[in-house]
Amino acid sequence: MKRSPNKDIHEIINFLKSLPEGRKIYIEMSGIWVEVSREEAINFLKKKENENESCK
Amino acid sequence: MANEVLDINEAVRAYIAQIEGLRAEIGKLDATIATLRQSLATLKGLKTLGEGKTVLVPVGSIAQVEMKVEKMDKVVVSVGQNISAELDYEEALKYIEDEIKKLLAFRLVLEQAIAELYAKIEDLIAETQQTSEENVEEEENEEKSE
Repeated sequence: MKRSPNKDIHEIINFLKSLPEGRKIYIEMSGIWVEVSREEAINFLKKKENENESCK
Repeated sequence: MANEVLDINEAVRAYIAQIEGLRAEIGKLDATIATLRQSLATLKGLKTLGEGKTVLVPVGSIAQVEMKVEKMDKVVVSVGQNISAELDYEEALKYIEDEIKKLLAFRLVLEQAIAELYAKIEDLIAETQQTSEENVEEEENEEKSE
């Protein structure tokens, strides 16, 4: 299920927000796909974005 | 004159290096596009074959286990940044097709950049030829005047 790792985080957040209620969302962690809520996925992405910015 | 030729050679080499870099990018894009097209074909194939079909799911690089396709009305699609989302079958197809379109558009931009670099190289070559012709002419005139 791997794709471009550099896809813009905001683009993905907007895409997740556009999904209808009840759609399953997963986060990959060390090869394991964990089912999460939309909010958890968005928080995960925002955290990732902050980490990326602090590394710059 | 010799310095000019060296400068032009250097510039041409730099352009060629850029072209090679762009070609490598195009190669990566082509590989991604091929994978996405394969995904589309597989999804369509699974849908056509019907639910309840037995499929082999790879476990590592050596083993496979049998599983049954329970339903094909939902597809989990990777949307980047380690996130996957469940989409309707048709939505998933459209999502993948849109991704292919985006990549093809980007590929076109890279191809245009390569064409521009080739045009620059041709200009440089033409410039070199012109300079060398002028120099030959100049030398001939000098010889005549002597």
